[in-house]
Amino acid sequence: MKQFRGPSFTGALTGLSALLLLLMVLSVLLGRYPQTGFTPLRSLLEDALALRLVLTLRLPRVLTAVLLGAALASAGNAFQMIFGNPMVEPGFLGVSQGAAFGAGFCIVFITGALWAVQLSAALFAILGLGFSYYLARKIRFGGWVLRLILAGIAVSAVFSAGIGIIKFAADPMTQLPEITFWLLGGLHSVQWRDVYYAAPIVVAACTILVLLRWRINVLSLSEETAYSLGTRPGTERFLVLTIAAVATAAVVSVAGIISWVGLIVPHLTRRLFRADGRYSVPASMVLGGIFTLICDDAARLLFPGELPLGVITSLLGAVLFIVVLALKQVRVKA
Amino acid sequence: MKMVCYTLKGVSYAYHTHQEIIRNLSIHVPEGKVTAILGPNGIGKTTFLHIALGWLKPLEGEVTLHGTSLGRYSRRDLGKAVSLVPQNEHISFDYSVLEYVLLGRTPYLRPLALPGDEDVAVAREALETAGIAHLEHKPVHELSGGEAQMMLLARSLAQQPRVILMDEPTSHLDLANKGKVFDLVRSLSFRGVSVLLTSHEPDEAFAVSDFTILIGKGGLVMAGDTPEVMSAENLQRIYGVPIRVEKVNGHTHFIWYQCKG
Repeated sequence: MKQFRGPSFTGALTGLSALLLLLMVLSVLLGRYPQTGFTPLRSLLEDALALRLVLTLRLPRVLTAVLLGAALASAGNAFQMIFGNPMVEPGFLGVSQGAAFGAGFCIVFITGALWAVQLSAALFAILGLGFSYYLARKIRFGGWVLRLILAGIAVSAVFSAGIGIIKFAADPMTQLPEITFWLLGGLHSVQWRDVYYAAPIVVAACTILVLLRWRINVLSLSEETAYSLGTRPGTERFLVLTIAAVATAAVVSVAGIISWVGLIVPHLTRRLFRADGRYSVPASMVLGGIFTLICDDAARLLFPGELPLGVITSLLGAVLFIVVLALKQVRVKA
Repeated sequence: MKMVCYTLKGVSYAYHTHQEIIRNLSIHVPEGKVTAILGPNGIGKTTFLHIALGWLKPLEGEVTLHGTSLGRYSRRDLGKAVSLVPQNEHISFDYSVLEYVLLGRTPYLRPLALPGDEDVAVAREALETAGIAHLEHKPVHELSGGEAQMMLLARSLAQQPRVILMDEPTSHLDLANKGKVFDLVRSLSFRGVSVLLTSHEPDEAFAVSDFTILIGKGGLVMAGDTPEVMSAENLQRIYGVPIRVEKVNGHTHFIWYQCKG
């Protein structure tokens, strides 16, 4: 009896990749100049400003949106599988709150310059990850996964408290709105240098995660079972989580806190494809890119003024989450 | 001379300082037989299995498998030699039965490799042996307790191990499923696979095992061929309750008394 009906995995992934490419092209043409909607191709040849706008603003933004989605979704999938918990997201282990604290700290105490805020966010994101690992090693009870979860919660809470203090100390007229906007997340300030910074890290991390996709399956089992299958669960989990967290830190430092992408897209992927990492790891990257790109297009065009991307991903993510939970499962064949 | 699977020499293990759960244990486990590790709850049976797996390192002493110290095996070689059937396996995501059983092929794959057609064939053979080939496409979360236990066994068979460690494999099963597991265990032993299983049920251990290791409080251990070791006197010492042995139609039963008067 055939249990799973539908297109083959390769066919479905190829179709989704083609859809992502199409969306990227359409998103590059989508904007408010010369008029709201699609920029005609003729305008790009005739209007130098339109061409410059596409090449210097829209193209890097679209590429960053795809990198952001692919990184958060694949990292979220890896985190959920390694922790054996579908409610974990990639900012776990102090990465997101660390980045937020780093950005706020820089804005209030050092400078509001974008490059400095991003650098500080990245440094504190990695610091949050390092603290979580360090604390997990010091906790004297429970298995490795439980210790990491507890350490991640504790470190995130410390950084959250720190953000509260920073907000309290911030100038309400100048610094506080800047911190709030950063915390809501967005790609409004993205330039080519952000692509040059984030792309190598995200592409390398995603490639390694795809290469390790079978191993991630094994690491989703209990520690002793994973050990009995010839792995080194502690070392290999550390490796996978570090790669996923570094990719997350890279994109969060550029875009701010973008919630729900790393939570809902892995759920959606497992619903559409399968839980098996051979399928869910690559598929989550493509779906993450599509989801974030659509959200970013909505963020910049849905209302007269641009909405923060994090607000749209939360809204659409929550709606999708309800739909995914309510709908009957549809999966593709291997 | 009996072939030896495991040799433990002076093995001690403690989860907390000064609370040794296994103390100075020296024992030979025979090759190609079903060995039952029998004892009351919390006495260290699972710890014993995890030491045999190499997952827990003894604080003192040495464990050898087929004459080679466990520490000298590479991770992959040990994965090919020894498989584990845990008491419970919490599977968080909804793999199909075949996908889960295919995980048993991991020790045969290089770190970045994916299973190929040959691995799928071995996994399907394991499903066939476990009698659950018809469940190949079924999501693991839709299996009954008995089917899930056979799936764990099938995953362990896909490792094509020489030794299978089973942690209370029938503790959650009804009588019919217990029978299926024991039939499979006996057939594996017949094919030369060494099976070490833990149990706290003397009847079950007696029915399925050739060799028995009795573990009691204070590190008390008796080991030997099952009919010799599993006497009423030895079991009383291990469990601390009166036990009577009765033969009914040639089958041995262990009857324990709870009621007084």
